[in-house]
Amino acid sequence: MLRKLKKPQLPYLLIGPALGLILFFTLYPFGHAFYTSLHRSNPLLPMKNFVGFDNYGSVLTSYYFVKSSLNTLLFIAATVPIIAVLAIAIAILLNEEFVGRSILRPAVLIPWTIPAAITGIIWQWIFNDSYGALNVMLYKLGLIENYIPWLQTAQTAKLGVVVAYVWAQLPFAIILIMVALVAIPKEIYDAAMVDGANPLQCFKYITWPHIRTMTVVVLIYESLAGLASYDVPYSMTGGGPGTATSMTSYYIWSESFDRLNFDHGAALAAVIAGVSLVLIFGILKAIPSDVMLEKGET
Amino acid sequence: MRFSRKKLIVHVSAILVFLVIVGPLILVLIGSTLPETALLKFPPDWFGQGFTQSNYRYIFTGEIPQKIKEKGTSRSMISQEALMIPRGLLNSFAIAMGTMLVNLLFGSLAAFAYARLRFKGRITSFMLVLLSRLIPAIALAIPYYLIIQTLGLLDTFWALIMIHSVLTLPFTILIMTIYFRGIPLELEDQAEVDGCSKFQVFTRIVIPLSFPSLVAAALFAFMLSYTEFLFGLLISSTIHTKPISLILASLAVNPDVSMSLLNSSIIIAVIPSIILAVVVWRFVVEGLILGALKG
Repeated sequence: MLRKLKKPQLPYLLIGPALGLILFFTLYPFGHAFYTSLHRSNPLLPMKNFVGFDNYGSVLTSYYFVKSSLNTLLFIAATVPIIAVLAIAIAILLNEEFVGRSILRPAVLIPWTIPAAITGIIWQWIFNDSYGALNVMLYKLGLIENYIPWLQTAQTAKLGVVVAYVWAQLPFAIILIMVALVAIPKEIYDAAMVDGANPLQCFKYITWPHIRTMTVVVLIYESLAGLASYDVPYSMTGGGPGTATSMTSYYIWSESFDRLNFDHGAALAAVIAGVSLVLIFGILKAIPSDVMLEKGET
Repeated sequence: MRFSRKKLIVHVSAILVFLVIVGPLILVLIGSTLPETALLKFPPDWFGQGFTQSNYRYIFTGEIPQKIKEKGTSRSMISQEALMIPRGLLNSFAIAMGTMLVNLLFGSLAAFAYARLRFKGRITSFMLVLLSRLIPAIALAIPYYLIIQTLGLLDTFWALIMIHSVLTLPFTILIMTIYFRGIPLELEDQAEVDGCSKFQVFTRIVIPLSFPSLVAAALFAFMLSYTEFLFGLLISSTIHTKPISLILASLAVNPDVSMSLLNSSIIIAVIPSIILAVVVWRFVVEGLILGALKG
């Protein structure tokens, strides 16, 4: 598949622009951030003391870190499975023939085209306790007497944030699953039906093996995205009520820009980057190795 | 059997999915045509006062809605800020287009190298490209700002195009590399036997055959750039470069912007990207399906 070249410099010329841009905007800033995390500095005074991993220590033991980490973990634990299951279900639905399919297929893309901050605003309006659309509809249907303060109660606020986030992430996950799904030839299903298989068996023995790998990709991507997400929860609830919906990634922002503790912010960012790496390797390790190999590739 | 149970389940599910996915946006659309006083009323009566287009007229022509003179409406529900929306749309479009082009150009060249050529550092650099997305964007915010400032590119389109490209290139390179790999080698070999240089192989064989993946990558890059918020916030300071996502966020917290005006702003901001996605999607789906069936 790959062979020697007459002009050995060619590949480097080709990847040069892209790689150069990425490295310049990744390695240098990352190095700078890591360097900052190892020092105690003050934006007002020109001093920088090397403090080793002190910043990491103070960050990891702070109350806000523990609280937001728990929230983030809960968030990921809730959103990732829901997104995966819904995406698979909807992808299977979209693979079927039905009236209006050509409308529904592009329609599921819509949440993806909306900026994350706007998503938060829209859902904040829906869940609003004074004039929110959801309360209005529930009232009109006669289901409730008084408006429910969705975003003012810790538990329901978390629920609201999860709903909004899942809504925003679904299109992408659906696309990924669909790519794997459409590769399955219809004839297999026909043959299985002839042999008397019911829908559940069809899924377990035909569909699932084909979409297994892609599902893993979705799980990994959504876990990472959940770890780093802050715009949807923040624009919806501002992290509240109290600290009920505060996420770790927002913590970086507030440390760096609100409290001007750039060193703490940088340390926290390094921690999250590390956790992301561990998360990826963890998920990859948990999957039997044959799932990742397809069609004889290594 | 026409009315099988399966068909029923499928159709009902389809309607449910449609309502859940598109519902919120429909609500926003409805809300943008209702007067402020109707939206805020309790007991709720959304449609009691009829529909109005005054919000849209205001945003595009600056004409102040008549409602503001009505008793009970908050005096200051119109803000000058909403007039910045058309300019914000233009900015976001320009930046997204730029990002898309950079991705197509740099990304396809790099993807070609990764897919077809063997060279030292191939795996390492590919890993670096992919892993660059692991670092939380916020952590890089200050260094980015310093770099852009040093280059004198603060508050310019170029700065945002560069940053957005860095954010999107890993994924677009990945998509294109995978797709390029799927193109039969014999076609390229044949072309080279016929006397094509590597570059001509690229332009005449690979690019035309991988159109669906190019379109998908372009769409992805465009969307990510259009919806990006954080770096837009850091880099742009004047209306000359402010992306629409920033303007909308600021409108949302502006107490002088009524709920219905906000809804109208949202609709205006998302309609272009929705149309784009829907139009392009069919093209991508056909292409990807055909590609998947081939391989």
